[in-house]
Amino acid sequence: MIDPDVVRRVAGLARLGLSPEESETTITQLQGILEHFEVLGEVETEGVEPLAHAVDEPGTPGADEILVFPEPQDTLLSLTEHAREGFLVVQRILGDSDAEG
Amino acid sequence: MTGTATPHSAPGRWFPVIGLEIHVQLATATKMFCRCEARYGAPPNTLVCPVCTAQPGTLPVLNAEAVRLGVLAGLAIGCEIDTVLEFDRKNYYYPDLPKGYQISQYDRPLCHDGRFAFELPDGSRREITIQRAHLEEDSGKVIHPEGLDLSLVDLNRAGTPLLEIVSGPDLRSPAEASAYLQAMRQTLRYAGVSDCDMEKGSFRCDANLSLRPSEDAPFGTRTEVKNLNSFRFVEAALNAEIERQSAVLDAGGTVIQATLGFDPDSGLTTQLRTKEEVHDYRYFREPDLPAFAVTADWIEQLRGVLPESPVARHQRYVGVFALAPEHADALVADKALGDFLDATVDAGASPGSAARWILSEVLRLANAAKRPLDELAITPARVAEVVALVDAGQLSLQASRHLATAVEGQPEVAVRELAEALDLLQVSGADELTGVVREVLAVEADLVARYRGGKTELFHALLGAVMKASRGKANPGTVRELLERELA
Ligand SMILES: [Zn+2]
Repeated sequence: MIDPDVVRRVAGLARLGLSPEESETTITQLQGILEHFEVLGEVETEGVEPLAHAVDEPGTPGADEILVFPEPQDTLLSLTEHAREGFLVVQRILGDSDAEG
Repeated sequence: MTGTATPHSAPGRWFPVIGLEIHVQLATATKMFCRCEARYGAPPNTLVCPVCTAQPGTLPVLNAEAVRLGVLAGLAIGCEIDTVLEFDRKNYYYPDLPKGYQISQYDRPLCHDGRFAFELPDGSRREITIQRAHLEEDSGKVIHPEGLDLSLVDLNRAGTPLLEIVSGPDLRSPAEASAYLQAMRQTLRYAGVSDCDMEKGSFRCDANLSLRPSEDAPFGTRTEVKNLNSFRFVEAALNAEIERQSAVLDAGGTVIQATLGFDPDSGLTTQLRTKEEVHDYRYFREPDLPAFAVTADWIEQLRGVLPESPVARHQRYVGVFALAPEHADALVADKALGDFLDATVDAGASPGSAARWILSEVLRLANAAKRPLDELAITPARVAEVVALVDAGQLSLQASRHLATAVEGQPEVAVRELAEALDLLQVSGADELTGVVREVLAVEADLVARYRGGKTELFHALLGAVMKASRGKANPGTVRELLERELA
């Protein structure tokens, strides 16, 4: 069951600040999504190995050769108005996510 | 641990248990899942592409070299290597993590169950367990400009390959932790998997620490001290945290599981967050990457090409080269120095003489030029020639020092030519010297007569006269032999 505590916790993990109204809407939406997934619970999975990837063949890694993306700064930084002297600008925060583990 | 007030921090009252997590940037040319250059120090956001900035619809492509270096590192630190390589998503939100998750490894790390031996400062040997070493991608960097109410993000580092090495809770003191860290860095450098430059962030360390009342008591509650990014801070931070936890326990309190930072200015550990804030990373298999095979054959092939470890090199220097242990220490501590010695010996020099000469003269040249060894003009082959002249008695040690400067300064002139031009070669040809000796004996007939009359201590005066006559270039050993023969 999705209750306000679950929403608060998940929003905290996603670093989202939700208003009480948004929180209400989110409860309804998440509840709907969970109910949708419960349909899958009807499938008999006894003795079936969990599948993590649709492709069974081992992957092929790529060679360690530099490929420069053309004009990365112009094209990529132009996707946001929050840029400044080549940096992306965000709200002031405390440290690197190194500090996250 | 009663509630009564006792003066705290009686030294040695609490026994620390320490485990370290080390993040090592692997020395690939490109990032882990895209082919952007992985390089430190470029202008912000210039080494980025749609993959490492997480544009919709992009897919990761694993870097083969990151896997190779990961396996090499695992072998170098005594780990087992898994033959299946799988990646998982570690989900958390932070501005330096564009995808909202880090591609990492959760339940099947590439390397596991290692045993790593190292030497403590007192020379004793210590072996600890390596629980795991797994591949993951680095985050970007966040900068916090002074006086501005915003933070700046640079994604050049985002996606750089990392190996996270997790030790068992086997370390028993800050000094041990520091020795382990130094040995680990040296081993990884020797294996050629990373430059392990702490200043550039390619070698970073977090520590877990708990205290217990005796060495066989169960582990206490641990705290994690983050970002111990200099060797100086590791011991200081761990000592500070031992102090802090001891004070809590001595006062009858309990240690709360928490994540701490270390402030080098105050010398104190400060809380970043408590357990309630610890993230739920909701790991799951990375659906954008299939599993990769790491074949047993390939692992054995890599084991075969693994460069010599620092421990093995030290053993070889003492055992095979018969170097003094302190010479071996100095040559192993700096891999480039040991490499230079090996190349000089390969070029034909005797190991003992080459080691002494490199540690004095080549180091002096490098210090004077303020350059690393491989940027000096002097080469191992030319050092081998100089050392051969010294060993053959054709060049005195003193003269070889003058020659060193010339060899460095005039790389285009042959070593022997330089020695001749500078008139540094000793005259040790017996024929040539015999003439000099006879001339001196004729001139010093008076001394000779007194020597023959029993004043044998005058031998030294005669030896000195011959050396002087040869203008210092005579080999004293040869002169001594010739004098003894002529005076007999
Ligand atoms: Zn990229």
